[in-house]
Amino acid sequence: MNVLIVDDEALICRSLMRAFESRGHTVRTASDGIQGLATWREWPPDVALVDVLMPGLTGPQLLEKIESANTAQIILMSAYTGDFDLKRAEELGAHLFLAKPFANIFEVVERAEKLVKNKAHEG
Amino acid sequence: MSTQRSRKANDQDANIKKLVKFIENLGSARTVDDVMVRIRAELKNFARVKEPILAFADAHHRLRLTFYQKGSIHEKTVTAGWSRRPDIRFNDVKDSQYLANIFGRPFARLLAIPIRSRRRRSDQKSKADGVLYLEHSLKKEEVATFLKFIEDRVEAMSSALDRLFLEQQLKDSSLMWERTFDSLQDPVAIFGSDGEILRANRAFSEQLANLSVDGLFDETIQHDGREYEVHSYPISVGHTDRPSNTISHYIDVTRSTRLKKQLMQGEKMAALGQLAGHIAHELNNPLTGIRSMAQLLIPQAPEGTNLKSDLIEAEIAAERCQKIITNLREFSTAGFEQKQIRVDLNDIVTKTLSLLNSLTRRFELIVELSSSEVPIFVEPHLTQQVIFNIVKNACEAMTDSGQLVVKTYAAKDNSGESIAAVSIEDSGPGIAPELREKVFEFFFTTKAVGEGTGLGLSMSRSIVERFGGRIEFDSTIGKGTTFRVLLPLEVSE
Ligand SMILES: Nc1ncnc2c1ncn2[C@@H]1O[C@H](COP(=O)(O)OP(=O)(O)OP(=O)(O)O)[C@@H](O)[C@H]1O
Ligand SMILES: [Mg+2]
Repeated sequence: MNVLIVDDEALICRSLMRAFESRGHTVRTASDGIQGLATWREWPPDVALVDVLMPGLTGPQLLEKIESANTAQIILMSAYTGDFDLKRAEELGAHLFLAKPFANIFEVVERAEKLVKNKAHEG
Repeated sequence: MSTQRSRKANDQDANIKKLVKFIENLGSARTVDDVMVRIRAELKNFARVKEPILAFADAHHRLRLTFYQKGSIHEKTVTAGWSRRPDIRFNDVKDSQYLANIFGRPFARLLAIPIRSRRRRSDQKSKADGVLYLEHSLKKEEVATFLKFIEDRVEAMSSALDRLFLEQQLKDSSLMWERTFDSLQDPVAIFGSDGEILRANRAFSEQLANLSVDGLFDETIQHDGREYEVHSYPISVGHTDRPSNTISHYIDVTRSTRLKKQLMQGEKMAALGQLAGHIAHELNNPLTGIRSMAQLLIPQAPEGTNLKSDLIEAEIAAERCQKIITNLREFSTAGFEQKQIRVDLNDIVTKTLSLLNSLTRRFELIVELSSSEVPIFVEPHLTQQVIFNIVKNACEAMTDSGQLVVKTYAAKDNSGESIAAVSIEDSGPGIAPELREKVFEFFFTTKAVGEGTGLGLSMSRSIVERFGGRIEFDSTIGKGTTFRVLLPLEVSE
């Protein structure tokens, strides 16, 4: 599947990319919201992992912009657990919320795969 | 003639002696009743004169009547107006009507003798302060003698009553002043020019009596676990304007000082909490990357190589950092958003212990809560976190079996302050003497890497101090450790 990772923390982008690639997926990364939006439009992913707080365009702002034509499963990620939860994320159009730090990066990959698989079943 | 003359002279002598005796007797009268007793005795000479009735105005311009009824003295206060004419009246209808109204019976014949205080007596026309009423059935020929008898004695009776009224007034006003002084809840004392205590109110005797005089004039004083603000003002006595005495008013500021300190500590903690929160957020992202990267690389490193074990080390270290961050963040978000309220320490302990069931299950748990409420003024969740940390430490100290005793109680500490306490006693290995200083330090831990962050006690201490309390502990190697959380006891409502 095609995976888009939008996060301003380079190491997170890289590690997620490696983890997804190690399971045979195709990955593109973006280091801020604006770049993320551009990639999304040009290369619609099956699943997008989007950080909440980013310079330029925040995660929620990015979701607002792509929502209409979207077919991807969306995972919002944040280090600010206090003011965020699944309910908020769903209101913004996301399908899953992940709090940072991740206990295990492979688990993130598994959960993304599951989302896409479930969607395929439904669709 | 000569015998007649000498008899008359003898009579006069005898009369004067009687008069002197009467005046002397009046001088020893201590109360109005005493005066009445003496007047009555004096009137025994005249069989046709009945029991005396004495009326005088009190400080509130009411008329106080003292009279005999069945041989004993009674008193009655009336507000009805009365005649303050300064002249002696003989069988005046108005006087009779006046007494008839008050006593509800007729007064046929009445002699009214005005009594005037000294300051009025110099002026013949000034009004009377009181009246001595004498009901009588005197025969015509007796009247002149009786009037003379009374006139001789009016001055003495007036003086005696005057003196008593004055004494009474003085007593009343000094009593009122004393009562007022004693009703002040704050200690107040009056000092002479040499710093000696001249007068002190009840609160002063109760709270500050045994304070050394040196300290009494400072701006603030500490005594018996309480803090007072001292306000002193000069009093000028006598006729000079030069002040010689001082009145000092002590205001108990123990509680407000404590609240102020708490507020300051609270602000510090809020600032620290915010800083901790920011740092946690900033570190969280790169750390997530580092840890994830280590997790990615571990399976790729060849089995049995240094590379593999080094990567595992790095992952564990990153995990530990994340635990610290999680802790910091909890502390920061809880730390400054919540409000302090009045709660029962017993409730907090009960709730916390129920959260720790799985941890305490392995041990013999003895809980002894104070039978009555132990009110404290804290933020409940943070307080729960403190007890949680300490109970968790106790359980972690006792590896396989042991006894955990949790108690709550109210007590007085060394400085006399009322405190609420919870003690947590374990039968673990104790804390080595050289580590006792360190356990409250941030990040101090003896636990395995990844198991303890070393923040439990240091944060607990910050929290408790924020609420004006402290944490102390006793520990015996090989026997166990008792931690005590001491908080100011809220005054019950
Ligand atoms: N009841 C106890 N008995 C023996 N040692 C104790 C006890 N309580 C605390 N200590 C010592 O104090 C140290 C510091 O405790 P603190 O709670 O601050 O951190 P920690 O327990 O090590 O870490 P964390 O609280 O994050 O799990 C502990 O590591 C331990 O050595
Ligand atoms: Mg601890």
